[in-house]
Amino acid sequence: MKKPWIIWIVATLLVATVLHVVFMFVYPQLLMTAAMNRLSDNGQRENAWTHAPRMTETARLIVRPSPDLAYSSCVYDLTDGPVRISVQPWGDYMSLSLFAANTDNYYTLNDRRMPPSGAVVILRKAGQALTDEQTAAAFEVVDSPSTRGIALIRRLAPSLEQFAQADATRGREVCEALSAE
Amino acid sequence: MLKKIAFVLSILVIGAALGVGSAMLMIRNGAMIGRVENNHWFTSRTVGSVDADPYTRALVARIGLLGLNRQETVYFSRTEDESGAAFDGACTYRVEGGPLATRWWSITLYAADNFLAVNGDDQPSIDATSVQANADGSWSARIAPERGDAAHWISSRNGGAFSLSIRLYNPESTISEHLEDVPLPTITREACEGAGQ
Repeated sequence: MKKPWIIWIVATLLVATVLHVVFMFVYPQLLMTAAMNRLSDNGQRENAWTHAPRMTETARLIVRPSPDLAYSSCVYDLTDGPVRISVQPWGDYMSLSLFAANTDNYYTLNDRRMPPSGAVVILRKAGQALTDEQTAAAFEVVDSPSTRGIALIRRLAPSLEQFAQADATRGREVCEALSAE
Repeated sequence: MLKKIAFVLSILVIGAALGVGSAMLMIRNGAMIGRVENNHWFTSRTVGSVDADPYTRALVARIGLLGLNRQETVYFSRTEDESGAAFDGACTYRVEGGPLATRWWSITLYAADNFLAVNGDDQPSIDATSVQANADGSWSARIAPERGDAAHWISSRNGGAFSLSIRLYNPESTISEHLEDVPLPTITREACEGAGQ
């Protein structure tokens, strides 16, 4: 090696660049995986809604929560087939949003677009088969970019009374594997 | 032989430290390629969307996981008052705003750990349903460790170097397409505990 210090600098910068890029891509996935594990009790509670209590100063599951919203989350896993999600109507702002394993919000259905009686959304990986009956019963069939992800319902409920109403409403919602039917 | 091993090892160790360290620094300092500034508030055009770049995704994962895309909700955050000084939970601030072209809005205070400040006051936010606006749509509120005589109050007690988020749900396109022009509230420091000002 005639000029080892040049090789050293180039190689070090190359390693630094590669690891910088890799870290940037991996970091959101790691945090999302950690969130999915927290919200699903380490995978024990997947394909089922979890209705969070009112967001107070003790809430530590997700950063920067809104104390004015009632949140319900379902960590979905499409390994064994599609998942059916049902949402009940709400008298004010509400939305069902779907997040892929890389944090992308790839689908949102809010109360303005939702039928007055609520909606059923079927979530699947591209190519997973559905019967005609299942498709016909769904408001929409959505392809998830990742096998695991998070479904989240937000309901505007800034007061204690509205939160209690939201709590009663959301108890009737479903997040379940179609294979469990 | 030992010299060669040390040569390669030093490349790997220092390269890894530089690569990961610079990535963490960018995430910590809120680097966003699609960053939009609006009078001390900031946001990103690509939060939550499938167009987000890796830097935005990384920042969102740290401070705004499960955020919605801007057609559904626009989120702005800020960490400083009108003079550019960092927020301090021991200080009193005046918030002044006007009508916003959105279905619903809220302003929430977060402590430095990005969670609601632990203070027992149960006053972490104000929102469009709780604030009484004047006839011209203008309104004001106070951010302070004590409520005092404020009609609309966000408690900053135990907030330390806090930050604020404003959420604009179902914004009209004048907001979601013109993020730098949204008439967001101003936040002016009035006094600080023990500072005599």
